[in-house]
Amino acid sequence: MDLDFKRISERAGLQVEPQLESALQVQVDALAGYAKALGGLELPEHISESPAMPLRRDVAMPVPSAPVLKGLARQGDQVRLPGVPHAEKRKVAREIRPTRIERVSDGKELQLPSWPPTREDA
Amino acid sequence: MSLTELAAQVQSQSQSARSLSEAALARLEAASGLKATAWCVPDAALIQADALDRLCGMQKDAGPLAGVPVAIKANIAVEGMPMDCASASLQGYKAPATARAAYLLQNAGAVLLCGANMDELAIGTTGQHSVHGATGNPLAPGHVPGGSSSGSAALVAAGVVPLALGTDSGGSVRQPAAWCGVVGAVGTWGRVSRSGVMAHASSFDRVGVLSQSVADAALAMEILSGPDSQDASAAERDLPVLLKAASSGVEGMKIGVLKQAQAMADASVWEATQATVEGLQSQGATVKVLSLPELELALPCYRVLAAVEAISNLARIDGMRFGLKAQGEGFHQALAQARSTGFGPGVKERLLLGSYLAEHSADLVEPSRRLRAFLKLALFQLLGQVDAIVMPTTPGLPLAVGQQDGGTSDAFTVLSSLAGVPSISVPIGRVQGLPVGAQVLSRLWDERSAFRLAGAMESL
Repeated sequence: MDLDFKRISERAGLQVEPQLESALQVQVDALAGYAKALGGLELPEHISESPAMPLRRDVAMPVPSAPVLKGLARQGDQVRLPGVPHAEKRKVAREIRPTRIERVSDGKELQLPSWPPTREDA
Repeated sequence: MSLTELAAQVQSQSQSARSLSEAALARLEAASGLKATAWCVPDAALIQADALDRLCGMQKDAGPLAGVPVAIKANIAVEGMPMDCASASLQGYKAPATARAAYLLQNAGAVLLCGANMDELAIGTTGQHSVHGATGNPLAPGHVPGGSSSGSAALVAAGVVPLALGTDSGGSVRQPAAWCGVVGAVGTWGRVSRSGVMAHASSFDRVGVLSQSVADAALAMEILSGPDSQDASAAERDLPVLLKAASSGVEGMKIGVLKQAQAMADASVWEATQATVEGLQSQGATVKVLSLPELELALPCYRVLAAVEAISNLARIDGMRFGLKAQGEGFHQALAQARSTGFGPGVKERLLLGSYLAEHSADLVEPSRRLRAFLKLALFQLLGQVDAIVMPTTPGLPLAVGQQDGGTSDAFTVLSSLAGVPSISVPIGRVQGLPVGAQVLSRLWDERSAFRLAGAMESL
């Protein structure tokens, strides 16, 4: 493993303490198996665009599926579906009926406060 | 006696807040061998108690926690009190204001009795890395209490205080709660304000409670929940009604069990958890076996992301503004000298890992971010099929002092941390004479289901 301990220590704002090098090496070695496992996973690229943290009132969901939304959304939540085709959005909305759906893909906001959808949503 | 009963006694003046605090201080003194405190100013506690007694004497409402003595983890600010986060790097630093969470407890009538010891800067899982000394486990002498909220768990387990505040990034409330035989609860990320709390890994950090019962934890979480103008991540959600949920039973609830957890847990711990699940079934819950093949990747995923966030958050400890003062020629040399002198080995190892990862963003950090999102969605999907998931809080039993486990005790708690969902650890008895806990995970903002299930687990 390529490990420039002096550079790593300086970037961490620490003095170079040789006795900590082996401790770092143990941590790095422990991550080797993890890195290999990551390489074997097919993580969809678009997931990297989702927020690292849960949002406050509404939930950003890339390419949602109804079971995921059922697990996530509560009645009254606003669920954002950026970039999702309208037909797909309506399909998901049909399955999670009590949830209000908001679409922001084209800059406009369409809301389905209740099911069935209003004329504007259709 | 529950928090509600204690507060009622103080409110009705059948017992004074001063006598409660004096008794707690006496217990604290008797338990000094545990090294569970970071600070304690008895006069300050008694002044608070006397003020509450005067309020009750005037027949005014002193709050739902009237006179209840509580401990506050040493990384949560209490105005005028030391806030060293158990680190030599911050020795001498006193908090300029009170953290929102501590304020809310005080505003509800609680007496802020003492600061609780912890693993340095909330980095650690054993309670053994602190400038105040290694914390003991009152229920399992010779074994560690867990961490990083080690003092909070030990003080509640020893009966010194009935309630303590802790913080939890990867399991720092729930893991010590399990190993000390007490209840540990965290709400949805954003449920409780973190203003006035020393940041460790911001996208994971949560303020939680440790208590002797689920009902006490529920009451405390009700009090702590809510928005805060000082913390934009604290959500403006409807305040949860949790106390009632804790005693409403599990009839009709659907519980999920992760089959991968069985392979990762010690057989004895898994059996104890299974017995709890069967008990819940006998009370009317149904059980569904769920699969999350990537569960074992949750811990290294957390480690990578937490190290990256920690190196950024802890940059503020520079030996210039507070704590240990830097000495040396030039800024960088002085900074390195102050940090190397002030930080313990556990913190340095975390910082070195974070620094190493900065060079491996493409192959470790960025894939870990994607894995986190993937695990979140997978967990949400599973929680869409059930009301809550029950699993062991830790894969193994409390470690003997000096025993190493490579930090794997957080392997199950990090799942909730990665997704930000509510989680409660409940004691489920003893295995080989040592305390064991099981945790409940519920949907975002659905603390009610978690407390409902936790209450039933406690009653088994």
